[in-house]
Amino acid sequence: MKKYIIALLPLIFLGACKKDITSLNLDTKHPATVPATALFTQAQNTLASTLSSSNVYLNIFRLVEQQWQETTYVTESNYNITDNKIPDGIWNAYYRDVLEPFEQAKTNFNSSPIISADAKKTDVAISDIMQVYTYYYLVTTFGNIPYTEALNVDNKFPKFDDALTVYKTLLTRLDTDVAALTTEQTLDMPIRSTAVILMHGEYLPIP
Amino acid sequence: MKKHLLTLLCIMWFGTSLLHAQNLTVTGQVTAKDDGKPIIGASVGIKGTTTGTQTNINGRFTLSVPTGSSLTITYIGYTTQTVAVTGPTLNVVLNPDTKQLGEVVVTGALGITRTRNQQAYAAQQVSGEEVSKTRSSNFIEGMAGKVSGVEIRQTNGLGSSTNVVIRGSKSIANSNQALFVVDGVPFNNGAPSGSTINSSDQRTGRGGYDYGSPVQDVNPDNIESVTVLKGAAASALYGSQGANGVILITTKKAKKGLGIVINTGVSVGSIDKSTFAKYQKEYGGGYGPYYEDDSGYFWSRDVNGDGQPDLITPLTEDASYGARFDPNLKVYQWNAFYKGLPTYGQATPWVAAANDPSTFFEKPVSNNQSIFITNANDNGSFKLGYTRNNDTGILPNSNIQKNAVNLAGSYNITNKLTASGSVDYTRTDGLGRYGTGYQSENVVGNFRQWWQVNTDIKQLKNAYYNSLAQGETGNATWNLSNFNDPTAIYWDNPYFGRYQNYETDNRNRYFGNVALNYKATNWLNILGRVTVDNWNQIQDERRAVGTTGVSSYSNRRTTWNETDYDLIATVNKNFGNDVNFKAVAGTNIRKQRYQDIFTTTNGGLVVPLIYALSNSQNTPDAPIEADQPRQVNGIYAGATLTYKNTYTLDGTLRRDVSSTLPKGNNTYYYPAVSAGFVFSELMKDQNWLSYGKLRANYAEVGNDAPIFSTIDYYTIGTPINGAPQTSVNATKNNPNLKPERTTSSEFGAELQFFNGRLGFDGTYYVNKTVDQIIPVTISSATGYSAAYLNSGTVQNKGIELTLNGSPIRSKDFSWKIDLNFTKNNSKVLELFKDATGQQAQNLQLGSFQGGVTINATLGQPLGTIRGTDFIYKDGQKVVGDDGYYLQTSTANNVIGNSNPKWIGGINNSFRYKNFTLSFLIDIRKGGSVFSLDTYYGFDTGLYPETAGLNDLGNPSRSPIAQGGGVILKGVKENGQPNDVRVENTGSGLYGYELNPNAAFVYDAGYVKLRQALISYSFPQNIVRKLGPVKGIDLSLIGRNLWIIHKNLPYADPEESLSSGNLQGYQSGAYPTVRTFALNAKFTF
Repeated sequence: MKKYIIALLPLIFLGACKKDITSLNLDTKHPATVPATALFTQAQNTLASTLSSSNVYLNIFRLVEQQWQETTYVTESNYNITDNKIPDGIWNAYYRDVLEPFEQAKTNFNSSPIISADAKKTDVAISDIMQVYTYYYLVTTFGNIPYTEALNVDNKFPKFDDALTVYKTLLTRLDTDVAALTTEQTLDMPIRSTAVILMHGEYLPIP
Repeated sequence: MKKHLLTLLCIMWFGTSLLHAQNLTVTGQVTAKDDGKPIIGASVGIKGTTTGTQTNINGRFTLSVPTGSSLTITYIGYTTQTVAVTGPTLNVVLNPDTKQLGEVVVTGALGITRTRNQQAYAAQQVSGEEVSKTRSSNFIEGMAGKVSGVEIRQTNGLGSSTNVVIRGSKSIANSNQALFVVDGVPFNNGAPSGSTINSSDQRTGRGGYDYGSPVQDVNPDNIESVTVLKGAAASALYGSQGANGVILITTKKAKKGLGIVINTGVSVGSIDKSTFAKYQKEYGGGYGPYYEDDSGYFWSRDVNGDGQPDLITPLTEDASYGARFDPNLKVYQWNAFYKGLPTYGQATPWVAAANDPSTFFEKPVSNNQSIFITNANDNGSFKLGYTRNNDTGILPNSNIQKNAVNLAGSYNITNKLTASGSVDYTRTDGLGRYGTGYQSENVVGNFRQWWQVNTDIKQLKNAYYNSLAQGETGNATWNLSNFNDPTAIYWDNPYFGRYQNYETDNRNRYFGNVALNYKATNWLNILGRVTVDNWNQIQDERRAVGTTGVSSYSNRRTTWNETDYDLIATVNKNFGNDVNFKAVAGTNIRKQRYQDIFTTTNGGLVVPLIYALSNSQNTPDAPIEADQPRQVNGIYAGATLTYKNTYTLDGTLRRDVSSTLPKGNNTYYYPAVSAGFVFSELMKDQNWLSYGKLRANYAEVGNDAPIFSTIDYYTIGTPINGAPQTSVNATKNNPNLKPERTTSSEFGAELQFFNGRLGFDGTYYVNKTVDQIIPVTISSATGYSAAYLNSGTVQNKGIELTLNGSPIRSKDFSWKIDLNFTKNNSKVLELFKDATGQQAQNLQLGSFQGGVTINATLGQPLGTIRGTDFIYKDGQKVVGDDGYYLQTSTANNVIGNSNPKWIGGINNSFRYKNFTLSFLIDIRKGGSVFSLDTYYGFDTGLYPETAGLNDLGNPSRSPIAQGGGVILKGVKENGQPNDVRVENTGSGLYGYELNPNAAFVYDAGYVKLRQALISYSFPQNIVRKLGPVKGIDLSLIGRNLWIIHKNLPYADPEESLSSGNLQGYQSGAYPTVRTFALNAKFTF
């Protein structure tokens, strides 16, 4: 009898031996936190690419204005925007690939221990201006859009706000941001000046 | 070949009891009456003594017998016979005894065996011989249509993947593939998910290659039997992996005595023309009368430099709505613009090509050889096998070679302790797998959707070789950018595409284990085992310089490693005569790791024909890496109590801890309970009922989360102007995930009548999967396009029926018939609800070219196809004032569903003396498929429907003013039959330009004659004269012989892009290949 209990003992040990296997579920190839500047640059890059894109799935406005004309496959030139899901492409690009990274950059700037309070204000203001710029394109393309309830993943059915109200809100928001900008170039700016890829990182005075 | 049963006692020692008179050495063979085959392991004993022996692998025995005695021959499932010894030879034929059907041993989860009476869940077994007799290198092909409850979809590419789903799709976002288990250990069939190794782009039809299903590495010649455990109760001991059902493969074990089996075979095939396009031969290249000459159908440009414009085919236009053919009209076509061709610089007659794309396909040839050597004695056993398969495909430059070595051995260290080990190594080398999806590599997509019917395939072949001979790239395409610019605008020369834009891949797979088995007592057994499943694969994909678009080279390296540690104790004890107690307790630690790295050149290749990452115009982007480890620790126990062989009660419980769920919520339990009642034991006096059992069970299975779904990660991109970029992932992860749960209940009955001549097995099941972990698609206005949530409930209810009968069973002739039928009803009961209680109505699973999506829609079977639809009035399509069909303005109407209404199979087998004839019919009713091939191909005018004569008897493509045009079938908005004639002079009328997606959704049902087989076993009296040869079997096998009925025009309804959850969509569907194989099997 004793023999059998000894034989079965390892069974219990193996089951009990439980080193922490949850640590296996950390992705070693992708970071969980990134510098806010990297998010900012990527968002600017995507915004500029989308606005100037000739990819029919991202930007058909040259066709709509009849500046360009498709030849063999004339779907979009004929204003058929359902076949290739044109509205979906533009919507996803602005909200998911531009606005969200700017939003996360704002949060990361605010919580960064490295930069000074003034610089934080400026960085947050710049990111906010970029968001205003993006929302401008959204509201003029689609009309009513989610605005007050947007960019909050806990609310999966954000309501659509009235276009005129959004437009007016954007203007007042812009005023607040401009006021928050300081015109001084502080020593810790150079890092961020490479992050701002539009206009080579120089902050042009806003009239 | 019959299996050797565990419960049979080996009487192996020779008593030293008094031997009176002389002994005679008797040899003979024991065969079965029902199929004439030798019985291995039958017990042959001298009546009245304990002396005896067993028959060997050929059913033969040798025994020293006192004269005047009798021999008693017994074997499970057959009536015992006693025969007097009259001479040195004694051949015995045993009759099946169906009263012992309940004693047949069946294999269950973890390799645990029990008798049929004790098995209280639905399971079906297919012999290894049945599965390998088709001589295909893919053993799953041998299972299609033979097992109820299992839906198998085989794609048509060379070495391409197989979709295997048991009892319907349960999981919205995770794998629904059955778990494959080889000798007790899971055998990986896909990474990182368990269902495929193909990229997500490939599965959504955006292009790429189908690299097959890794389970095809299992060598069919090494399979002893396949058992399908259909429900959760059967597979609960496997934990979450078993939630989709288990296909349990038992490999061949050595039998006593030396056995050598050699198989060699060859097969040839050709395409089934009913699954490929047919072309109209009336009109040539162009999109309509839009071009430069007076007719509008041709370009008018000066080709020969004489100052006069010449007529040229619109070279850039990949459609066939051009000018009507006229042999008297001479036009400059694509073949006038390549130096070295006989047509160079010449205008040629405007006629349809003599060789249309169906002549592009070659006749595939396969050959396979295998040798297996086995031996076993009291001290141990040994098996060594080598198998080689070489297959070429229907496309030029396609070839897959498989080499497999199977080695296994065991040694009895003491009479209680056995050590064993095995290694199965398979190497697959692929060349030129077929391109899939919407990409120029998919030549079949090119032929079906975008083509000029005046283009001759043979001329394209000559042009390819001629171009190489001229020192060019070989891309002498029909689709030039201009007459003086041979750059391929959209499509390459298909021969250039096959020979220059090709892939190569190789995969090494090692699957092996070492084990120690200790028979502690005659009722307690302890097994300790370590198994390793490791495969590594390299894929090289090439696009040559000169191809349309950008040339490139990409390299992908993938490794999968799984190590399983098992410690299992099994108990099998009888208490008295009436009670049998079986129990199992064990622990299983499973460690998995998936690693992948993918790199591609950037901006094109510099030096032609050099496929290296350094040969890149621009610096390649950083490689994309993945490293995904996972561990599941499991512990389980189970018990089976059987009373009087009649009543069985079975319970199991498994506890799993998984690394992919958050700490504190990563433990889950799987209970299962089942009960069986063999009522035929109480009715032994009823001769018509040979066996009857009722069974019922209930089980709960869980499933863990996909890896890395609890924490949010960013992706690092390529820096721009020195500034780093990182992007937010489009899917929001969730730190609060819980395990998914499936509850399943099952009721069934097994009956056999008339001595086993008629058998029936029926099961009714209900499965419900709740709390599914799904990346729910949400409005990207939230900042993400998807978020992981526990949401979603899917229910599957269905019945499985199997009927088998032997209407005729005599010594010389027998007829056996097997029928199976499966009906599964799937329904999405719930999708996610937000905090305010709003319920989502739909979840998109995949979005495809053509604007269709595959979805989980509330209240519908899982797998709805959604897109634009017609507008209907009283069931008729409505036509607008302009005579064209009206379409919905919404693109999310449900227009089809990929699930079949039911599936079934009929398997007939006849035996006359030494000949066997069998054939299998496979039926699928209902289900839909969307064809991108007709969506584009009808638009571009390739098919006969788009031309021909109209209701007035005139060519429909003539202008209405000349009596042409078409009146579309339907009603006007006021309900009156349509009478408005519309033009058919240019592209669009029958295709995507003027029809909604619903026009291209077809019923995917079919009736197929899937295989037929004739085989001949050389009779023993001939074989005996051939020395060491003990048996010769010749067989002629036909596969995919005939699609007796289908509704999908020009294609095979079973064809799909890949295995996985996205079914019901075709793009560039490959034709079915009909093959005939000849195989010879030698047994030594």
